[in-house]
Amino acid sequence: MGLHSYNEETGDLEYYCTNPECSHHSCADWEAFRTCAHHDQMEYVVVPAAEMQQRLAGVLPPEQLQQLGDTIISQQSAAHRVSGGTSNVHHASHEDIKWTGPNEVQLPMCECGTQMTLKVNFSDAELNAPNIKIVRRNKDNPTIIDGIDQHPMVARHQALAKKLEQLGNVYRPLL
Amino acid sequence: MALTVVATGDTITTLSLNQILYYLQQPSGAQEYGNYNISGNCYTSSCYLTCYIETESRNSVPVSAALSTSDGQGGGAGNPSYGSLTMGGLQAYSLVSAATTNAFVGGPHTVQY
Repeated sequence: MGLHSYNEETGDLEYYCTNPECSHHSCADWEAFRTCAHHDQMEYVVVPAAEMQQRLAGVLPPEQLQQLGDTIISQQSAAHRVSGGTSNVHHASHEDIKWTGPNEVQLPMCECGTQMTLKVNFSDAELNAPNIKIVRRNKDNPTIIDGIDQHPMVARHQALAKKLEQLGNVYRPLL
Repeated sequence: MALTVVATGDTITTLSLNQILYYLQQPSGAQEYGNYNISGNCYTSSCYLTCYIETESRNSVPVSAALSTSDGQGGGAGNPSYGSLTMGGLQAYSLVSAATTNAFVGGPHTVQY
C-alpha cells in the first residue's frame, strides 16, 4: 500500500488497508497509477471496428485496416473496486510507528490486524529500479517519452523518515 | 489478478505480453500477494522466529508491505513485522514471549511496488 499521503508541515500520514475485507480498504480512492491485487480483474471487451482501426492506424497498411471488424481483447479492469472505506490517519509521533530495520518503518496496526511496513531508505541502485524510475510517455503518441519521474511514494516515505529522525525516533538494532 | 490465456486466433495486444512481464517485474503501483507462515520452538523467552518471503517479482523494489494474522496466531507469537524489504523478497519475524514448543503466526501478505 504505502503512504497515500504525507503532510510534511503537520506530520500527518494517511494510508489504506490492503485487507479486502477491512473497512479501511477503499481501492476506488487510490491514485490512478495503483492497482488492487484483490479487486482488479482481466476482462474481455469488444472493441468496435472503427476504434480498432483507429488504434492500429499507421501500424497496419490501409488495406488490412479496412478488413478489421469488431475485435475481442482482454484488458485490465478496475470496475470491481470498492469505495466508501476510510483511511488510517495518524501523526508521525504515534508511539506505534517503529523502525523494524535500517530501511523499514512499521506503521500502527490496522484495526483488522493488518500490519504495514514502509521502505523509507533507498540505495542508488534501488532508485533506478524499473518500478521506481517511471517513464512518462506521451498520451497521444506512446512511442514518445516526455520524461522520467520517480515513484511518488518514495518521496513521501523519505520525508516520513526525516521527520521521525527529527522526533528522535531512529533505528536501533534489536541485538 | 488472474492472467489471461491467449488462444489461437486471439488478437494479441501489448497487455497480453505485459501481463507476464509484469508478473516477473512488477510496474509502479502494482501489488503482489500470497501467504506466509512463521512457526517454531523457543527454548527461552523473547526469541525471534523468522521466515523469508521470496517475491515472484525479481527486479522491482517494494515500497511497502503488509501482512495479516488471519490464518492463526498462538503459542506466544507476537504480531509479525517486516524487515529487509528489498528486490526479490523480504523477511517476516515474530517475537515470542515465552519458551514454547509451538509458536505460530500466519496469514496473507501484500507487497506494494
